Amino acid sequence: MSANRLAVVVLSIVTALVLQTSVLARISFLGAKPDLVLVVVVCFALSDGPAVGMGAGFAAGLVVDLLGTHTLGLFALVLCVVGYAAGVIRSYFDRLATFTPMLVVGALTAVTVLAYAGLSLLLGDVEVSGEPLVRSLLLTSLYDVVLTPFVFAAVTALRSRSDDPRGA
Amino acid sequence: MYRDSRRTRIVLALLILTSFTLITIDYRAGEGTALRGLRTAAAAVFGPVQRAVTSGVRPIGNALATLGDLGGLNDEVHSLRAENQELRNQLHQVDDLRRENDALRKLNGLTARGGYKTVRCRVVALGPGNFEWTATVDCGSRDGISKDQTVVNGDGLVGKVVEVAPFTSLVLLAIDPQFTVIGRLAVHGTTGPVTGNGLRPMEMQLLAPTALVSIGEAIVSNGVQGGIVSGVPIGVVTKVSTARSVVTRTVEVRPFVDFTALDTVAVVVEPPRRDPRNAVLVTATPTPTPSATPSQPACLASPSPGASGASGASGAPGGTPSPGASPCPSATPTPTPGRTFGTPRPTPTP
Repeated sequence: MSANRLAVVVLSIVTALVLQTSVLARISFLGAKPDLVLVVVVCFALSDGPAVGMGAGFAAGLVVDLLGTHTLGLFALVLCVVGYAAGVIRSYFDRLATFTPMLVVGALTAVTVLAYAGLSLLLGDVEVSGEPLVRSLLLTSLYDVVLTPFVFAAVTALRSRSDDPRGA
Repeated sequence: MYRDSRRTRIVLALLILTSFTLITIDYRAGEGTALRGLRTAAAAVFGPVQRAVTSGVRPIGNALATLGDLGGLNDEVHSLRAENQELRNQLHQVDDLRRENDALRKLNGLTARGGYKTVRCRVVALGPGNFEWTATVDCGSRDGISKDQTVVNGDGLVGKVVEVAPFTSLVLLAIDPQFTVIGRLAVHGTTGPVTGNGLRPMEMQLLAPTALVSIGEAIVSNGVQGGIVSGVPIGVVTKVSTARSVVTRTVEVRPFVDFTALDTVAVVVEPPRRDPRNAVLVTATPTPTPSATPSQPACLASPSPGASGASGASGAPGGTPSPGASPCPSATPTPTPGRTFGTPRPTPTP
């Protein structure tokens, strides 16, 4: 991975974090918010592989943890694993169909929400269960799926400009 | 690059381990650790950026937030609408209460002036027929009601009790054709039976064809033992028939009571110890209803000189209504020719 690509990843994640906390956090359609950071992490994993996915996931999750009030490391753990998983899933495809990223993002968003709910329940942070959990599970996945095509297009466009992994 | 290499897995394990370490440290230490400093640092770095972005995109953010809050706004609209309806209902209730208060006040005044002992009831149903004018009230024998007792409201005579059940009673309304009460012309003192006539004005038969009567003159009940109690305002004379019957003279009477809007009534369970004569009329008379005849229904305080002479002491013995209640413009009214009917001047009506 080139330094250029690293800069792109870092900047994208920072942008996503800022947008997430400044803009998207104020939006709550029907009581749920999209998770742009997650979408960006998964898109990078799908585009660059498991190593980048888990690294980006860990870093982004750590910052989310630092900015939030929940137990530190929780999102770092979840996003790290999710980024890695997305990268591994990518390795099974030769070419990605248009809807594949959407499916992957949808599934992994659900996993993230469930993992977050389970872990925070274990740690006694917040009890997310019942109707709010189901709502957030369904709606956040849906919103993330909607965001995916744009984010994925941006991520792949940035990659072709910085460097080509196949050439590396 | 897409390969899941061994090195990647080691890094993954390390990252997961780090995460668990962080979670453990944060979970066990809580506040006041080095991690706290990390959070502060992150906030210090991101805070200004967030603030700048937020202020930059605030209009967009607000618009999006509004969009996102549509569900919430909908809820708010619903709750506000419900609240609005609730307030409107309350307003109507207040109006209703005010009207009821007025009615009760009038009723209190009437029963107090008459010295009637009454039981207050509410009309719960009106007679179903087109030719039968009855009302069911929500008090019965358990409340001390018995048959033939007089029913009044704040305006005057409503009717009499014809059937009594434990908890309800049936009232024959004064406008029922079967209803008859002995009335007395408040000014001239002549008595005669007043009969209901449905929606048409009540009719009073003056037994003497030569009896004096003025349009606008009030009629009060002239009690008989076991019947309607004395002194209850019945109505005002609106028309005197010109058909000169040999035996009687018929007078049209507009009742004081609005029989289309009966609500709270009072059943007189004990007649007054003294006959109230015209005392009940004092404020019961001014019930201006849109009538074609420009009558002066409350001009009782000043009967025409000729009339008082003819009717003698029976007319208004000291019980002349207070001037305040009388809409008469002056203390000496104009006994206009044609307004007083009687033998001395049997003027034909226009």
